[in-house]
Amino acid sequence: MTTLRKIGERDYFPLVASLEETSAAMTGAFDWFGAVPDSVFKGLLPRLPGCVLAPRENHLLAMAFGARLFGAKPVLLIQNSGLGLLGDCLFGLQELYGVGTVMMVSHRGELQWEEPQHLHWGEKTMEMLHVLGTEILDFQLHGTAVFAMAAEQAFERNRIVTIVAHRGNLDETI
Amino acid sequence: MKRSEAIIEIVARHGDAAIVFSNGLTSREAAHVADRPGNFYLLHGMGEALSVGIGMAMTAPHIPVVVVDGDGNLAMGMAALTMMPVPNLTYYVLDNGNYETTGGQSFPRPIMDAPWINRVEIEPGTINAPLPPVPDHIMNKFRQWLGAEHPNLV
Repeated sequence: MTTLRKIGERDYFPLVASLEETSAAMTGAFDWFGAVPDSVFKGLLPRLPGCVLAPRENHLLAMAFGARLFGAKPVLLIQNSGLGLLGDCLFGLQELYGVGTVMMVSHRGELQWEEPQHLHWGEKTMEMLHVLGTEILDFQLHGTAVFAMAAEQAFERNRIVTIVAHRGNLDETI
Repeated sequence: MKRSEAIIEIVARHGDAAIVFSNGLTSREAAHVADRPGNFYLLHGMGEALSVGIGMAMTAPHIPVVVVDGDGNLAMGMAALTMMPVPNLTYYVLDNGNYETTGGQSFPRPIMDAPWINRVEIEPGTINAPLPPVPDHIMNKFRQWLGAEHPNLV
């Protein structure tokens, strides 16, 4: 049973690491960073060198595919709702050509106080990841070691890997 | 001009580039009439050819990258246009006014215009090229080209 922590009136999942520790572990494992803007990652994105901000998750995934063709080790930061947009691209590019990649997904909607538009995704995210057939790693469970684990699976074994980050695992107050 | 003729001209113009072709008839005809190791044929990923090219070009700014898209694919991937221009990326759109791969459904005209969109008007119709190669073949051939031309990226 996970013990939640309080920030103001709201409950959050435990903080896993500082933004500095998280970005240091990420830059050690990856060399291409991309995101679709998400406030959960707002403190982390400026700490990732050259982070590419794309307007849609499917396009970001396609950019990561191109980057990987040229030898990069990409990681993408997206909100769980973006999984609804990227499935066809994932199947038609990474899966079809056997190209590994890593997605870090903010798991919005798990906590009761979250806004109503996130709650359905909170219920469906894990189910969706299973449908997409990605390897699933949990930031809260593995800590910052998760990035090296994900990179090994993606770039040594050409797997598609998702790192799930729960609300509060990252510092969102910055 | 036919699609196949436009593709032959574009490939001849960019002999040292990595060239990404959008899925459907563009990839199919390119693989048939203008195949070369630096070509990468999308078999699916509708609307994503430009994004793949952007990812390549941003990763290796010293390598010329070309994307050959159809007008229908441009529409499907329109949000990616906000990422353009990218200095080492040349973007062609083969414009025949319809979604030809899926049966010739008409496409609203004119297509979006920008200084970095190289619009090439082509006639409707196809040369009935065979299906393009399978994914493993496409990947292996492209990686061999990359290894020979840009070994630091492999």
